[in-house]
Amino acid sequence: MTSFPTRILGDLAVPLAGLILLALYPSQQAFLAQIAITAILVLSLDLVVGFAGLATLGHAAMFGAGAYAAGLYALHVWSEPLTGLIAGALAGAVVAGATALMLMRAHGLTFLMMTVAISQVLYEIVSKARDVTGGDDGLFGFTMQPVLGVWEFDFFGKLAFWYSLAVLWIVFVLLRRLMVTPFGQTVRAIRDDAGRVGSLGGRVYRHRVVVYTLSGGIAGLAGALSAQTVQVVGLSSLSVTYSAEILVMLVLGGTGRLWGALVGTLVFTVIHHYAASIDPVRWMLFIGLILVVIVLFLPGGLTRGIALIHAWLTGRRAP
Amino acid sequence: MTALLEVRNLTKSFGGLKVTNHVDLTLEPGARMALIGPNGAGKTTLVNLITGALAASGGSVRLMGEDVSALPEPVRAARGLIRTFQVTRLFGSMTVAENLRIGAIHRQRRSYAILRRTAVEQALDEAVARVLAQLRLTDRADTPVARLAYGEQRLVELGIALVMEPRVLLLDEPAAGVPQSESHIIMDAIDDLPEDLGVVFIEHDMDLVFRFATEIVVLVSGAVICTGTPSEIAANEEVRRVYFGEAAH
Repeated sequence: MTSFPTRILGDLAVPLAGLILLALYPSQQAFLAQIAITAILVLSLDLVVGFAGLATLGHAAMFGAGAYAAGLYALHVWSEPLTGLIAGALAGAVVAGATALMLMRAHGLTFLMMTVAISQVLYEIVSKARDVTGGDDGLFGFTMQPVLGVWEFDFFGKLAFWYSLAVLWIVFVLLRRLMVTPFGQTVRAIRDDAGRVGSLGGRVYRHRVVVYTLSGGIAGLAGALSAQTVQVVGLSSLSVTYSAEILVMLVLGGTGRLWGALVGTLVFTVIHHYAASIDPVRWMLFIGLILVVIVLFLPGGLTRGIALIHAWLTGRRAP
Repeated sequence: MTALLEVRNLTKSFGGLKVTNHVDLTLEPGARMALIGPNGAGKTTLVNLITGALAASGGSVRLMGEDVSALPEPVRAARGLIRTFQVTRLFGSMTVAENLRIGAIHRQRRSYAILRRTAVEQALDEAVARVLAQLRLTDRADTPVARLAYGEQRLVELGIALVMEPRVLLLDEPAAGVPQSESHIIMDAIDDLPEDLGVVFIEHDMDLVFRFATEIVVLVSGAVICTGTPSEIAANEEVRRVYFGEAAH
């Protein structure tokens, strides 16, 4: 068990990091909002990949579902943002829950291929349904009401930053709590040895469906945030490429620890930001090289590296 | 009194091969039944069939009078039919206490609890602490299981089962791989189990078998060739020939 001050410090890490980044990049709040939103998505991915131990290449399906749902909701129902977030989260959870009933009967490579297939199917449906979704042109033309009726969305992304940071904070704190509940521990146990959990009376399939649905809801929430802050939803939000990209972020930071999702997203996006401005064509090469080095020499990701350094400095063995 | 566990005519075939051949067993409360037999006799398969990890080709399993043959493994486990594994299967990323906690969570049906409630946490901690003390693992509570010596890992393997407070406990070679100097801890723990519990244990060490068993079942090629008290088994000609003869090299 971590001590009380460490726990509180952990809870405050997200707003602190947000403020530090804001001080470093005061004129780039839209970019910082983007990082926060991506971090929420990568956190949700960590639930599936890191905690449940299920490698997926279809996680963007839930993000895109949430984004389109929030966009359509703002366009046709009500442009109030908070209920829009709920709409996005529900859409993500519904897509995840419905597909999980099928997915969680598959294992390994079959599972991985099915996540890709489901994601492709959704992509094609959204792409063909031009009248509703705008197809290749994307979904746009909606404007958002002020958050809580007070804070207006602005062109510079000031509100987008605070709004996204607040949602990220809430998600991070709640997930940290969830991981130490009996449910969270059971999910980890299933990752370690599903058969053993079954022999103790645990319902492996049901737990996987629940955690996948929950993860889908959070991914949908991130999608909704993205739709509301950018006010455009594109097909790429559903793509397998995007699913792969967020998986790279997670592996970079380290799976199975929520910090890994945050660190990975931050490092990836910042490298992307700089490398792409130096060489817009070959920036992925740089990311690729870093990833190879991490996977070969530091399989636990950057946060594992930090833990090792910390252990070395304090003279203790790393966990 | 109804038997804790009643196995009738249990059969399993893979293709033409009958790995379990019309097995009958009756386990009364308080019984300590040793399941012995040469390698490949189908002892582990029989355990898998009883727990439901493997689907039987025929026959029935009754737990406390109720037919559980059609129930999946987790449901049988939730009714008190608990087993351990021959090759240690622990939750490798966790500490000793966390491993036992997974058992406690399932015993107390909290695996869907998404809030940390003090009363629930206390009940889980108590169950874990009790088994830790019983297995003399209290000072190992926060050690990751991956760092334990194999003998201690076997204790945790047993501990996960004990924290489930089983009615019927199936132990697949509980002391396998444990140094002789430590095997008594495991056998003492089994000896300390509640009286009304039924235990079936697979064991190759005949000293342990004759010390702890109240009843011995000899399995050869998937079939029970003989059942009896330790003294009856020791005197049985056929058993001496197929089993002890072979074991004596």
